[in-house]
Amino acid sequence: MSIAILQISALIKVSLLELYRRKDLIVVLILGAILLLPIAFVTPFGISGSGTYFNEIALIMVWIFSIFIALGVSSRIFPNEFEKRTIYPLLAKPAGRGVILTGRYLGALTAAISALCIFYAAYILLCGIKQGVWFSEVLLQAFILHAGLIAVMVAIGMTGSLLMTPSANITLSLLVAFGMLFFGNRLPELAQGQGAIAKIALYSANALAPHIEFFDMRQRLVHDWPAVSWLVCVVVMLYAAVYSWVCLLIADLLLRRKRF
Amino acid sequence: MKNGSFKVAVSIERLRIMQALIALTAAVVLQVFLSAGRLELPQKSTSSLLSIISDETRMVFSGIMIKKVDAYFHGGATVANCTLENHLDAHDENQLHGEQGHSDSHHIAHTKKPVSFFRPVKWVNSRIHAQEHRHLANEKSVELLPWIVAACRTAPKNIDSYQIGSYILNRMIENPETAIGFLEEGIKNNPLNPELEVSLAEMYFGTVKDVEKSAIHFENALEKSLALKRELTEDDNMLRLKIYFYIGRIAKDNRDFDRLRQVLKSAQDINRENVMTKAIAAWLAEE
Repeated sequence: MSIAILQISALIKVSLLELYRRKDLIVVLILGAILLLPIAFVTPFGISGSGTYFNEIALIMVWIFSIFIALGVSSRIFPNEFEKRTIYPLLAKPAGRGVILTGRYLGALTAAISALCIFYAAYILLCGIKQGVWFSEVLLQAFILHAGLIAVMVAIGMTGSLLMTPSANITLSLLVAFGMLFFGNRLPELAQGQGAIAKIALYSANALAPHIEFFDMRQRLVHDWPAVSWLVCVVVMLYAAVYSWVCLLIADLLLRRKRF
Repeated sequence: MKNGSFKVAVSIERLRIMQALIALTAAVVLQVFLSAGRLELPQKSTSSLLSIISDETRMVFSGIMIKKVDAYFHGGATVANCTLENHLDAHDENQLHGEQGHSDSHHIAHTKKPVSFFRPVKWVNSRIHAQEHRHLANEKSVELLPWIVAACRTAPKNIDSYQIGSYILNRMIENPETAIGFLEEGIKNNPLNPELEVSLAEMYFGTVKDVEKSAIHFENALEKSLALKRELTEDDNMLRLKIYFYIGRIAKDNRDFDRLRQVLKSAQDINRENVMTKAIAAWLAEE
């Protein structure tokens, strides 16, 4: 047991190092700064005091960049291992496929969440300077639910990486993520007006696809709505845990059946 | 050999990602400059297909920004957020509030939370996404301005953005001077449109109480309305009636009965039964 923990922690460390070595994070931070700084000081009609637009655009960027990082980290791990053949020494005893999958998942998750922490720190800094609000309960809930989303995206990316090439995997995962973000809460209503096949497809998507909109607290955060009940947060985090677990079960099955 | 071609493929893929990132950055930076008002693209009607597509695209984006203004006014709540069954009835096809949008039943529908825990997806969504009916306080309406400016800079032909913006500046922020300047910019960008002239004239008439300037702009509006070359819609007729109504009102105040008679005749040609036509007739009958 302790050996497995040591192996998993080693894999987590490798994933973290990998993310910071690749400089993806620095690139998106610079991109974010280039896009955000000019609009931070806009005063329409010379009337100052507007900050909601900035808050919203900054959060959209945090969302986009965090999803890109999560998918980028998770979808490259196994293809790189297979390409460089580093999977063989890893699979040598005593590290089993289950330990490697768990370690790689937790590693990718830690790396993606560390990036998320940096994004939120930058967001809090920018919004704090501009609007004078540094912390709120809604912000904490938004961060926790966002971390839940990252857990789901990393699991999806990792499962997809055992089925597809990294580019196909990232493209498909992004389509699913943004499709569900925009239409997830309206799928049953959309299904009602469709033909039989489309109806089945939409109801299946409603049941099986990840409900990314559950994790989206942007509206509450940007427009100063009160925090939600913590029970709702627990339910959403449970959903994230179960969804990630199911994805990892599928990934485990795929990895065990994989012929090298 | 196989390894080499794989490396080439990876390089090409990286190049594509870089191209996409550069294009995205360029688009957003351009948008930022447009929003900040530093760069104004001309929007002249030409027969060029590219120009038509560009104008239409800009109108679509501008429309999205105006929807954003509506969402901001309602605390970020949009139709997409709402999990109530009867919500769509209160909205028009553009997902903005229709004429009955703020009726009591609409408010009540927003304040109730009928979603059961046994419909988990709806239950979570109805709690995560705020749906209660809320309107932005006047002192916070400055939050709407960046989207108004962005909408106008993106598509200077979008009349709605100038009208909504001037309303916010005049009524909510109580800054009529800026609202007038904004409408004048709109008129400059849309020299043939009578609606913005009417809005400006109404502002001079109602808020600034400068009847002389108001009369000039109502006459300008009438001239533009009469010069419309397209087949008149119900909205065009109503706008023209409104212009006649105000011109008649100013003529009545100035005791210019000849002008009042002319205005009444023109208004009756459009619609005899309209309340504005009847009001003009009543003013004339008083004398």
